[in-house]
Amino acid sequence: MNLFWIVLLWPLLNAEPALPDERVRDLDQYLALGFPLGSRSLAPALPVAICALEEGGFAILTERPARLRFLQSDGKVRADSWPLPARFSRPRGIQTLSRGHFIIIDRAGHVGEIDREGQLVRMLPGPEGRWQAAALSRAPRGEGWLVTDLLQGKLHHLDPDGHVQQSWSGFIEPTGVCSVGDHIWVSDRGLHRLIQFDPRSQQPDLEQGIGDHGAAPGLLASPMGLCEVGDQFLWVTDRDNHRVQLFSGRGFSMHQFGIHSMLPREAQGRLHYPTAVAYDPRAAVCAVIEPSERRVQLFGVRDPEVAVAAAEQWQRVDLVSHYGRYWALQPGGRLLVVSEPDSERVSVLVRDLEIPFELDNVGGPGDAPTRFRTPMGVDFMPGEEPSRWVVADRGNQRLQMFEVCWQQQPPLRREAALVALVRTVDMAQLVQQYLPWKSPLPPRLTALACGEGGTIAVADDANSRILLLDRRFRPIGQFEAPNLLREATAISADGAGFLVADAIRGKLMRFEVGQLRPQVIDVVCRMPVGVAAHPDGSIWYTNGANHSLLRIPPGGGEAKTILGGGGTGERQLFRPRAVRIDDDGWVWVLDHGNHRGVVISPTGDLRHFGSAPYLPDGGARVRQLKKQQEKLQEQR
Amino acid sequence: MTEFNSDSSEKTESPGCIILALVFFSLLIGLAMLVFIAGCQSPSNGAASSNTVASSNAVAPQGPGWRTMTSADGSYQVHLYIPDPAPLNQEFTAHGTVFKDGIPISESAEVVFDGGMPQHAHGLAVPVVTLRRPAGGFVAAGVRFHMGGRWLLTVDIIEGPHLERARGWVEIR
Repeated sequence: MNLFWIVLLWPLLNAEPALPDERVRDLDQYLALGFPLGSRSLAPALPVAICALEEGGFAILTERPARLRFLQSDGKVRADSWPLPARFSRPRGIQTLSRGHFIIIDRAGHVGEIDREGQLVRMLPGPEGRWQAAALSRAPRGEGWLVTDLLQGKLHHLDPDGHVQQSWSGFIEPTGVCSVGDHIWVSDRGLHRLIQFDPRSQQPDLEQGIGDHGAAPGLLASPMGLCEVGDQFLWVTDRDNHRVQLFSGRGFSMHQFGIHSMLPREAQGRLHYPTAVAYDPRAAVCAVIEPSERRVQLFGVRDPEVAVAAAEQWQRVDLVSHYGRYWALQPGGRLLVVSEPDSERVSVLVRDLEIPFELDNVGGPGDAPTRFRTPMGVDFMPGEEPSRWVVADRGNQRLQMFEVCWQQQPPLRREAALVALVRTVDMAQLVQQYLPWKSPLPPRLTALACGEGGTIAVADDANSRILLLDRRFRPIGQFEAPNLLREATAISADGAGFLVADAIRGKLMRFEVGQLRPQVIDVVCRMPVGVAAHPDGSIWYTNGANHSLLRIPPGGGEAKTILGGGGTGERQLFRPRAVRIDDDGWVWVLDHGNHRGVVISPTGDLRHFGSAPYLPDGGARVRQLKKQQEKLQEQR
Repeated sequence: MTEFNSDSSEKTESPGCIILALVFFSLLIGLAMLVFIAGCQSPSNGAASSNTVASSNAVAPQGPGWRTMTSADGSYQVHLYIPDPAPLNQEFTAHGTVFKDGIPISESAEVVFDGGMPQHAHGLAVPVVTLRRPAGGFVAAGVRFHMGGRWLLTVDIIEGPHLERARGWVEIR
């Protein structure tokens, strides 16, 4: 009898395990992805959107100039490159259509169909009213399109003809979208989470989001573009962690590749602020775009026999200073405050040292008082003792005021809780309460400056205006200039008025309370991203289009380039942002793309500080200073 | 038993009971007069009208455990009570009153009490919920300082879109 059972069960017990089906093989490929195949520069254009083509390869949309380009999975950029229709000057998303055409969206809210040569086939209506498109994806089961709106924090489902079928709200900054199976996934930069929900639900549950702000696997820092793979998984561009993560449809982080570039413009698998990803299943190649470096990198499957260095798999990058877009100088003092959206913090530094010393910082992700969701413009209030500064907290739609009681006595040491919250104001609520400010769109706060008498000017990009408040955050007025002001990218105090740089319109303006129209500063500037008035009457501004710092002489005239050329050289900048000038005429330029600050003395001498590899001498001077400090400490 | 009951019945008719009843009656009259006088006073604003009795509490409470904090812009005075000495690793209830221009804040204002150790980068181990009480009062039950050292106490007063913070330090041993 026993022999009978053995004979019967033997084949079953010794059977070869079933061959992995296609899905398992695909998963193996996804989990082995990360081998750097190559990098392709698209400079001076910025790659802003990407999708995989059915026949293999990728279609890429660029900005400045707005073009449609094609990249093969072997890394060759195809020669054919087509200009986009004029309305799509700032494209934000692209998806393929079965007939070989593309659906594209533009930041200004245009939705259209183009052919393979970039010719407009038809415009689609899209959502009504003003909206700011951020991401585009196919809807579940291919039934139309999904688009996200940054101005109202919404996701819209459009039918194939572009009519809105359903909308979901409550997001803070929906920067990416895709559908996996029957579910919709949204990446929210404000929450640092992935929101997964059933499209049949009326409202997604944001509390059930996946991830949170952090650097460990499964955590996220500014999640951006999403890409569905195999109808079960999704790639997530984890921008401020400088990596791409693979999540399962159940929300588990399964794999990641890419770590922060340690050297300027470094590629070879290292990433710098990736914003979108696409996957070509035929070639098992992932394409990642990095607008900050004007390039696209391709990643393939690693050889399973070759071990990957641990440091290449995951290196903890503490979310510390990257020198964001805005900073401010303490009037008549030694302090510098830097807005750091990467870490959702604002740092306070002693600025007159060769290496500025961080005294304290405030923030962390969240909506509680003192926390931030994308800190933006920052400036010191003039004439306040102890010193006070105001921050525009974009994701939380509020302003926060802090004070710092620092005794300027040696020795320097980090002092926790040196920075104290004074007050906050919920701008969304204030706009609804104060009738002259009432607007259909909630405010989207960006640049900020504090002027004479404690007037605070803060840009509301959603409504193309600048809101004015007193030192207790009470509304006192606004600046508007239809057809002139679109988005105030930078603001700085200038006597009784404010200098404003509008990167979208390419204009510099000067607003003053009581004047109906701003004074337009007569200068040709393509993309001013920082502006400040010098005590000698000149105006200094940074131009994001060609990485330069320029000076307009007192009384006007042609602007002269002071620093320029994209790079890390002594007189070069890379994606510069804020410029601030202190009472003594020292010019402080935030060289954001190089993670460093540049200081120009009144005699023209230059000083750099910040991330060592990005300094002109590669950090040799910093290393020398640190050695000296260590020696001094040993002697003590 | 019967005797006891009768004793008690005798007590109800004793002169002492009559005196007690008179005292009670006079107290009632006194209270009614207070209410009448308070009702005759014209309120300075809507918020004050509901808190007129409590306005006499604007004087800072004295005694162990009471502390007064002024908000950063000086708009609010916060009288906060935490036990003195504040217990280490034991739950207690923090409570207090918030005044604006000497008048208790309106019932619609929100008050949020919190604590933390900035040097150690942590807050309260278990977050607390602050409830409003009449006459500018607030109470936060379940506060626990789980570690010895300097704690930073904050009281946020939220009126409409505006929030202003008062803060103070306490040493826990």
